[in-house]
Amino acid sequence: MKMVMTREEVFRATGPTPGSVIRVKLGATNDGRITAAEARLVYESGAFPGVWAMLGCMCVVSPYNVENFVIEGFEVVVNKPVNAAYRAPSAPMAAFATDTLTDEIARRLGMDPIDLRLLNCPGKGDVAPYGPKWPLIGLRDCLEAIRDSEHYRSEPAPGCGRGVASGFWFNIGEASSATVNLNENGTATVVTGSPDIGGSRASMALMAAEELGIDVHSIQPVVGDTEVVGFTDVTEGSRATFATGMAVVEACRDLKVQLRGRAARMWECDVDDVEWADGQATHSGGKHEPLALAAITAEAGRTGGPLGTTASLNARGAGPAFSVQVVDVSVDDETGRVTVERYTTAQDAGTAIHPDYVEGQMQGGVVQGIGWALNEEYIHDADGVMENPGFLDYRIPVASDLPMIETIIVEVPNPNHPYGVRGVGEVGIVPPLPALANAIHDATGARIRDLPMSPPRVLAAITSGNGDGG
Amino acid sequence: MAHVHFSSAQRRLTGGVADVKVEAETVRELLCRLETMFPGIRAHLDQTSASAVAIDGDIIPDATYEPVPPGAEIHFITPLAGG
Repeated sequence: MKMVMTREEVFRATGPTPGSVIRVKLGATNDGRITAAEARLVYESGAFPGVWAMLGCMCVVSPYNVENFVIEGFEVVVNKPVNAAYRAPSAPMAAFATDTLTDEIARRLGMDPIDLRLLNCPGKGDVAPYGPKWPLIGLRDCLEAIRDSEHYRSEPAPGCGRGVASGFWFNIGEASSATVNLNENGTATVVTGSPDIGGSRASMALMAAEELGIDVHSIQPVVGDTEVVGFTDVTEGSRATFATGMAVVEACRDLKVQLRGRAARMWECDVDDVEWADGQATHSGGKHEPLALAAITAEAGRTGGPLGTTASLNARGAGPAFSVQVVDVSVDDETGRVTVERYTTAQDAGTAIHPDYVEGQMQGGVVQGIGWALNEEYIHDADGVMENPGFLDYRIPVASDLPMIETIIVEVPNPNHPYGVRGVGEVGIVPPLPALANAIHDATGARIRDLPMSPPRVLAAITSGNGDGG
Repeated sequence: MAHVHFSSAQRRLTGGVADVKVEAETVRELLCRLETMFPGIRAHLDQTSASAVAIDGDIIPDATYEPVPPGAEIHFITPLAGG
């Protein structure tokens, strides 16, 4: 069955991210060390409570080592449409509260905002605010990458303001399956159940090629459904390349065992005398010329039948993701319009299997965050009915609104994935909200604490002259 | 022995105890042991949003049958969602 919704139905029925009211209080010493945090996070839940407040609580001070904290979360049931998970759910608004405050601390102390974050940066073995100890993470590497970037080392253009912010998201594993079949001509078909929303198919092909030792162009990656591939959880939590990739690698490793067995049959030798490396079987005693994968698949019908396998797993060991971003903006003091003049994002990808697609995810996250920060807003009437269910009245950024989003891929490999993948889909949306608020403050002196920072709100903040508009 | 840590909300059910060391080979066995120590806590951990288990930092949903390695650090936290 296929169901098609109109644009208006999508707006009204599929759910936005939760609305929220968040208060954060931070204590810091004169040298910039954050010693205490108090946070109260209130999230709208539509008609039914969910996990939004708890997720916000777990993220709100995560980019910082804070020894003492009290964090409270509340879910408020309201007469509005249901909320839904939306790219690092609950984290961006929590970061908006915390990372605008750390910007104020840095200003108050006359510190560089990156130095303040480096001073308070958690690392492996430190206790995360939600309980467990951090595994290997790349926040410090991202901070240093932005600090050392050409963008950050250069001055903002005259009249522009600059903002910095950091963001955290967990990433998750969940269930994935992959079926890999080797064809008679030495090509391979990789079937996975993860819909490709950011280039994951190409990454599946690359990981299979690396494992099997054959050219990536010999691999056809296919997205199947539950009629043709084992159960796979939805594409969420930045998990597709991490978890489904793990299933692809496991399937390919099983295939390599099968390929060694087939080579042993062709050579009439013990399978333990057959090794697999660089896409071919070799005889450990050197008695036979190596057999390429295609030579083995060509004989598959006579050595036991078609070669194929399936792997299904619960992926464990997702690597936490961090992003640090810097943005320069100009603000029209007659209209309040904010123009993003330059934007650079650094993000820990673990290992970037397909760097172009990783950059695409980083840029996509930033652009979605820019839209959230500057324009996007569900407007409801007094009865909770949405008044702007269409793109004429719900403004998202378009290409002409934006500069090229510059990317710095940081690679701190996740030790729990065979190729070090962390997942890159979500965390990029977390820092833009505070980064833009900090940049607007730098440009105008106005500290805006409500979103979106649309022209009327920015203009009101500028003209109020109290530096605390909104 | 696994080292189990309780959040401030969970400590309402442990009489303020912040952490305990428990001998258990699986999460299910661990929950049984905790229930003996703190009556009512299993229902809370099974039925509230705090139903995922972090074993040495790896957050696992539906962890009932998961093995608990010796010396593991255990936290009960909310299941994660992603967008």
